[in-house]
Amino acid sequence: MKETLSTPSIRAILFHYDLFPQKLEAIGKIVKVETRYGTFALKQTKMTREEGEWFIHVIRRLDRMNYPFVVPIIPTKYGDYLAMDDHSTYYLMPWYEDHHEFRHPVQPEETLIEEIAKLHGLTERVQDYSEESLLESYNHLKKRWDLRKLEVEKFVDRIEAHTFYSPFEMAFLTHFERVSQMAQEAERNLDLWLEKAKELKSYRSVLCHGRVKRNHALFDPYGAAHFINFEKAVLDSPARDLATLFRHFFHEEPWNDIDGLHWLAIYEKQFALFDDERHLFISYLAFPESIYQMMDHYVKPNRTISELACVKQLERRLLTMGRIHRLMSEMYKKE
Amino acid sequence: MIKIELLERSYPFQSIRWMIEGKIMDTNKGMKAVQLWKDEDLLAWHIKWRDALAEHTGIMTNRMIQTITGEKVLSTDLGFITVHDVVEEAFPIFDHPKQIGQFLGKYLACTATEEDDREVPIIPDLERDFDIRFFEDLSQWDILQKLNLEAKKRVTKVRELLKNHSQIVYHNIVPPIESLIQARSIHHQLFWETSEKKPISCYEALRNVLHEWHTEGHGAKIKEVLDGIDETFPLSEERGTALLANCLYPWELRSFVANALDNDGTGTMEQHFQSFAQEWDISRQLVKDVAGWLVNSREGVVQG
Amino acid sequence: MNNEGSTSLSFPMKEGIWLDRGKKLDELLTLSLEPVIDVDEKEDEVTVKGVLQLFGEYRPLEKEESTGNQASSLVDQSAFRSVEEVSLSEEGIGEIRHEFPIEVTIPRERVARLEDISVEINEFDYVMPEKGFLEITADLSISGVRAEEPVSTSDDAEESTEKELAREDRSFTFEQVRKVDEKEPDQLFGVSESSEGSEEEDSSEEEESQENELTFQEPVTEIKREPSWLDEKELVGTIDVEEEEDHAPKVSFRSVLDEEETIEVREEPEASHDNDYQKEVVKAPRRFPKNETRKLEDEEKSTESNVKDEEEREHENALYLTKMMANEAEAYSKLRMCIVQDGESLDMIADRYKLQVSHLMRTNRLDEEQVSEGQILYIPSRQSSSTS
Repeated sequence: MKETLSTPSIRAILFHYDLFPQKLEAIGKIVKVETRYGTFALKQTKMTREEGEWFIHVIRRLDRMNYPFVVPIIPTKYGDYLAMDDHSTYYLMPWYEDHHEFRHPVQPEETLIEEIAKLHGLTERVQDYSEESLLESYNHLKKRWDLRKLEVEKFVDRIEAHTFYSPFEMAFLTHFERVSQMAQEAERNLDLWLEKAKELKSYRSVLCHGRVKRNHALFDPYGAAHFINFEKAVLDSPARDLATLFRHFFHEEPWNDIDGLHWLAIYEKQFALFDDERHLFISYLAFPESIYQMMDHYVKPNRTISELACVKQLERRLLTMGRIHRLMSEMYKKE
Repeated sequence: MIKIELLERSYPFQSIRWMIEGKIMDTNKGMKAVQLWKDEDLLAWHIKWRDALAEHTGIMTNRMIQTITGEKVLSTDLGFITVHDVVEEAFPIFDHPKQIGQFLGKYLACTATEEDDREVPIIPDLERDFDIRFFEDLSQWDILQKLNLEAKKRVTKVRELLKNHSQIVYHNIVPPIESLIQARSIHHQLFWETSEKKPISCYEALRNVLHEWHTEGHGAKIKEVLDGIDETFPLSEERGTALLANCLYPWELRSFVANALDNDGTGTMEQHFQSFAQEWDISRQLVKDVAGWLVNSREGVVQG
Repeated sequence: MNNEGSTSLSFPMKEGIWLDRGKKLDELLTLSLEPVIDVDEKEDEVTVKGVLQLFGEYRPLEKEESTGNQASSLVDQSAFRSVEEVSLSEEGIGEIRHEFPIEVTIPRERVARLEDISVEINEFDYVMPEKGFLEITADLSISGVRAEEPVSTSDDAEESTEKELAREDRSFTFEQVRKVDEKEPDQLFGVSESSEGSEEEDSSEEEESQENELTFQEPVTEIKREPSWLDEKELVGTIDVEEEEDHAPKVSFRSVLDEEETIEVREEPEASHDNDYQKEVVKAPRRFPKNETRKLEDEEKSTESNVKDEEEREHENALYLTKMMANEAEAYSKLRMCIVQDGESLDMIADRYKLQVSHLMRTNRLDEEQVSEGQILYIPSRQSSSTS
């Protein structure tokens, strides 16, 4: 780490751990700390007090259940999981090197999805049924979606009035009908989720990592992943983590509906989804938010990416949308 | 005697050797202080209070370093042992009067438990007379007698200041601040070496700090310190008056009498008197400063 | 201080003083009474004229002061004095300064030598019936006066009597007077030396613990003499507090002497109220029927000794000489009192006044060195006061 202004405060924080660094290296929000007694990762966060308390609770819970796929948090010499100064909150972990090549053939996606499934399995809890809170969640999401749909329809109305369409407008208008159908699919599945949940008169929660993705896991040479960054961990339906992870996969690597079904199978091998959860998962995946976001980018007055880049992005996302559609069909087919 | 083997076995430190037998040790993780406690309740209070200080202020302090098994206290035949950091570098407090003031405000407001905000007299034993009878051999005996009379006047004024408040009001108790030397520096960050003594009224603690600020020749910055304190520990009517009363109370005579009686051989009686006299005049200046600051900050507020 | 054939006139005084401006007295620290007199010779009279200077230090109560300042700012309310200010000034201690005028006229023939005349404060005491009011009682004696002829004072006897009677209850106590007397009789009462005197002293000692009234009956019966010389000078007055700006308590003394013609009162006694006594003797007791016994006794002794044979003078002289030496021949004695403060020991006090502890113990008739707060100690003076 270059001798920046924050170095002294890093050293002061490391005092909480009786660590006297020989070398400091900043990697994003992580500071790599090399000492005589080993190498550590110090994470700087902007957690509020409440967030910090929740985070400590999550860490303790993971610690208690002996979930192995997590990078442990090292307490301070006073026994705290977090160290604070005037500006930030920090926590310390042992330094885990992230490997991309392994001794055996390993598919990181499979590992991640399996480990997340295990986490969900370990933290599964049946919540007290409350139709009221179920409806509240449903209405909340529906409202947000309606709002988004309205924004897009306004945009479409506006560009339809143009005599000539720009390439992005052209592409957007061409596929708008399909996009709207996906939105309807999402809504339909959301309705189904509500219906099924009402039938079951119960729903489950698990500890969701919240921001699960490849970067938030460190792979050892044998292909085991250790999750980091539980700062946004939350108790929610397993569909949430699963959808996040799938979107991440869709975004990272080329994939097809076969891959999707495979991943889902891996997940369900560890932690089978209920009907309602499955509809919620599909609903999350179907809603074309990523397409809508391209409109946001495009209309931004101080847009930094070129129109061409926007069009390319849009087309890629439309492609993903198509694959999701196929995946949905395949899932139904299986049923 | 506290055994090094026991410490090495219990704490995550190796290569321990005493620098001051039974008190300060050097370890592979730096210098640490060993504290032996006889009073378990006091120890429990200090653990809570120091943890609270660290949590609420973000200021580092000499909290109890945990044992390997995560205990804050090591129970031994000798008593309860705790281990703390020793920080050698002093914090340049006088360069940061306002920042120190803000810290002090947080310090004064810090509570370990609910009961800490309890009824304690602003000045304990306010009515107690000073027993100066042992000083009649002192060459400054005449002055001492007169100062004793003036001290009684000060007490009368204290009583007068506090007459509109009840003598006993709810206020916080904190570990005494014995010296600004307790402000240490870790990589330019403040590390506060909390005293292990019994907690006292926060006003008395504050008075001692402000007094020392003067003693060290930085009285001109007192106003900035008070500004800082006011941000984190608002010196509203009651608090300000309680502070002023505490500054006005002749603590220096009390401690002169007490110190001279168990003369530890650190100086002659005359020398003790000299420092007492200096403290007296510092108190006087401090009272002026605090009263002046309060008057300014209460502009428009009608007295009486 | 005493000469052949001389005796002393002694008389009591009792004064009340209001302290300045309602300043309340918290604690009296010292109090002294010192005569400053001139002796004038006029034709056939000798006038002893001057003042008794009262000086005292007290610690005022603060309350009044601060309530007066209520409107002032916190800065004023909390101000106090520096070490230097405290050590340079006496303001922290209230001072009582007051002068009581005194004038005594003595027939010339009664005075052998003017130089021999001295005024002594034999004894004094104070009471504080209420805060801010100080009542002082004292015994004065004028020595160097021969006993043959009456001395007259310029007092208005009638008025004094009335006032004294009115104030009987506040007179000084007998016991305290006697204490000192027995230890150092010569210092206090120049005429007390006589063989009979010592007997009487013994008897009075026995009665020491009893009420004042009891003591003087017996001696009186024995004394049937010509007490012609005896007269008293009384200072009776009221004290007004003057509302002056000054901080030091100022008290004006409106004595009888100030207001009224100085009248010589020959020894012809006034109407004798006390039938037990011969009229001459009676004068003193009549005025102090209850509390002045000590003095009466003393005067009786004096009278007795005066009337005694000349032969005895040799003996007396011998006695005097010894006593004088013991007392370092003080011309004017200044008697001081010290009120023992919290934490003070006899050692400390003796040291402060440059006295031997034993001296203090003797003066105060202490059996042990233990003193306690609030106890009054008489501080014998070792220095000659100014005689003016």
